[in-house]
Amino acid sequence: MSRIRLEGLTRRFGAVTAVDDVWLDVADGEFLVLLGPSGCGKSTLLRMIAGLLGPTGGRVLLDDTDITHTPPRERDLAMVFQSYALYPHLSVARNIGFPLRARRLRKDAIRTKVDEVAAVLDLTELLARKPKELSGGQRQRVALGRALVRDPGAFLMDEPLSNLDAKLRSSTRAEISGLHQRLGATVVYVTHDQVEAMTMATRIVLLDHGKLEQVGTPEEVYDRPASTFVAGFLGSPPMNLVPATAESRGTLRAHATDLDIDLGIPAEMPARPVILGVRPEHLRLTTPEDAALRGVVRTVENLGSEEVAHCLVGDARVCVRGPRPLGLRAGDPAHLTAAPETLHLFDPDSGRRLAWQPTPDPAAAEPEVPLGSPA
Amino acid sequence: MTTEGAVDVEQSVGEGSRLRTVGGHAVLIVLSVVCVFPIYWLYATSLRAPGDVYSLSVLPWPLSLEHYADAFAKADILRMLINTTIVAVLTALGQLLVGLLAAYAFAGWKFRFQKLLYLMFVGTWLVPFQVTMMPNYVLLSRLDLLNTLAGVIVPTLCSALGVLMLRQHLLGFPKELLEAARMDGRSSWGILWTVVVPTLRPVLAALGILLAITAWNEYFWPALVLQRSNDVVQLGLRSFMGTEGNDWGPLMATAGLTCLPVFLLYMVLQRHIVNAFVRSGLK
Repeated sequence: MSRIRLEGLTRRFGAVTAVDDVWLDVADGEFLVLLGPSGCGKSTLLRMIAGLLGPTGGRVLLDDTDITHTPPRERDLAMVFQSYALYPHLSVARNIGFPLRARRLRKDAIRTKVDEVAAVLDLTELLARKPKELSGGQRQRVALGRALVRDPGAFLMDEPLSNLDAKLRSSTRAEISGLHQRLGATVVYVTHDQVEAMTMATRIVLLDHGKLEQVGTPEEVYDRPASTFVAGFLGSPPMNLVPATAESRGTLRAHATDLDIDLGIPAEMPARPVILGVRPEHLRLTTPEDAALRGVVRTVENLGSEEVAHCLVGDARVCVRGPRPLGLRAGDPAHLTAAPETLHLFDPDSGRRLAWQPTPDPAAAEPEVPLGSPA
Repeated sequence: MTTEGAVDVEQSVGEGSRLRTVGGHAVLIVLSVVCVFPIYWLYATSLRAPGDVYSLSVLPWPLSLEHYADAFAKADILRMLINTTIVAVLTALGQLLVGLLAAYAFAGWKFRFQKLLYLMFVGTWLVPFQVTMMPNYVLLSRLDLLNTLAGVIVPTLCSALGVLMLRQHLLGFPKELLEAARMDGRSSWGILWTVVVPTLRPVLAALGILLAITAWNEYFWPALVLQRSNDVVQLGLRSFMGTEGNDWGPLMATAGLTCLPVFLLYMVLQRHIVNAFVRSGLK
C-alpha cells in the first residue's frame, strides 16, 4: 500500500477555483474521508489524485514518485465510482477481470484472482451474470471487486454508497470498513454524508469552496471544530451557533438576548463579540432560576429513540436533543443550560475557533485565534 | 339541466376528437396507398403473364414467373447480387469505421478548432453530390479505378451522417465508463474497442444497416464509375432498356429482386433501426 501526498494542489475552471492550494499527507494504510457539501471540490480533488483531471498547480506524489503528469493507467490507483461504472456488455467475472486483462495477465492467473475476489465479496454465485441482472448492492460489490482485484497502491472511492438505500448503505459501510482493516489499504473516500465520514474514517478532511477547513480524526472534527463551517456541517442537527458578547464578570461569560452563560474561565479581557457554539445534545433542561438560555419551544421532532426541540432564544434558533420524551411541547418555555466544557467560541468575522484552552491544537488546519485578541 | 349541459359538452368534445382521429387515419391511409402502390405495381407487373404486361387490372391474373426466368436468362443476376452485396457491405463497414473514429475524437477529446473541424466535417453533408462527382471521377480515372468495384466504394467511405449520429450517441455515453476503463489500465485505443464499440453495438448495427441500404440503392455513382459494365444490380436494370423500347417484364422482375434483400433486412431489424434513431434524437 502507498502513501499519497498533495502539495499545493490547485484546480481552476476559468475564473472559478474548485480546489485551492490543498496540502495533504495520506499515510500508508489510512482511511481518509474528503467531506463537504456539493460543489466544495472534493470530487475534483479525488479526480486529480486519480489523474482523470489535470491540476492547474501543485503536485501529487505516490510514495516518493511525482505522478502529477502520469496517465491514470500507470498510477497504480484503483477507483470506485458513484455510478459503479460497470461495463454493461461484460459478465461479473469479466468486469472484475477487466483490469487484469488490460495488463495482459495469463488467463488462468486472471481466473484465479477473480475467483479469490469473488469469494471475499460473496459474488461467486453471480459471476456469470450481467450488471443489469444485479441489484444495487451487488453492483456496488462488483465495482469494489474490480478495484480489489488489482492490489493497487491505494483505493479512491467517489461517493460509492450514495445510490444505495439506507439499510444497504449501512451494511456496505461496515463491509468497506472491514475490508480496509483486513487489507490495511490506503483509501481516499469522497462523501457528503457525515455518518459515512464519522463511522469509516481514520481522518476526515473537511472542504469548503475548495479549501481545507479542518483535517483531523472524527473525534477531533466533531469535538473541536475549527470553524463555524465545520461546526455547522457536522452533527444532526448541527451545532447551535448564537452571536453573543464575551465579557469578564469575575469569570468569563457569554451573553446575548435571553442568554447569559458562564464560560468557566477565570480570565480578564475586554468585551468582544463572539459566536457561541453548543451542540444540541449538550443542552439540558433546568429550572428557570438556573437557566442560561431562556427561550420558547417552536416545534418538537420525534426521531424514535430521541426528540429534537426547536426553540427560539432571543432571535437565535437553538435545537435541543435528548432521549424521548424530552418533556417539551410546542409553545412551552424552554429553560436550558450547558456545561462550560461543552461550549465553543468562534470569531464572528473569520468564523475560526477561538482558543480558550491554554495550548493551541496542533492538529487544526489553521491556528486557533486567541480569545483575547481584538475582534 | 346543468348536468345534462355538461354531458352534451363532453359528448361533443368526444365526437370532435374521434372525428379528428378518423380524419387523421384517413389521410395516413391515403398517403400509405400512394407510397405503396408503385411497389405493388412493380411486383404485380413482374408476376403477369408475358402478354399481360400492359394490362391495367389491379390483380395480376393468371400469375406467371416467366419474367423472372427471362431476367435470369438475359442477365447474370446472381453475380450482380453478389457484387452489390460486396459494395453495400464494404461501403457500410468503411463508413462505420471512419464515422466511429471521427465521432470518438469529436465527442471524447477537447482540441483546438474542434468545433470548426466538426462543422466542416458535417458540412460535407450539405455539399451536393453533383459538386464532388467530377473531381472524384477525375481522381478515379488517374488512379485507374474506373470500371472497378473499388472505384465505387473508396470515394464514399466517409459518411457525414455516420459521424453525426455516432457523435450524438457518444456524447450521451456515460463518462464514468470511459474513466473507469482509463483507471483500469486501458489506452484510448483499447477503450474504443473494449468498451465503446461493444456498448454501442445496437447503434452500430442499426447505422450499419441504414448505410448498407443506402449503398445498395445507389444508382447514379455506380452508373458513372461502371460505365462499361453492369456489375451491380441497379445497373443491371439497364440491360433491359433498349433503344427499341423497354423490356418491362424482366425489368420489373429484376427490380423486384433488387428490393427484396432490403425489405427483408428492414423488416427483421426495423425495431433496432427506429430505436437507434429515436435515441440519437433524444440524447
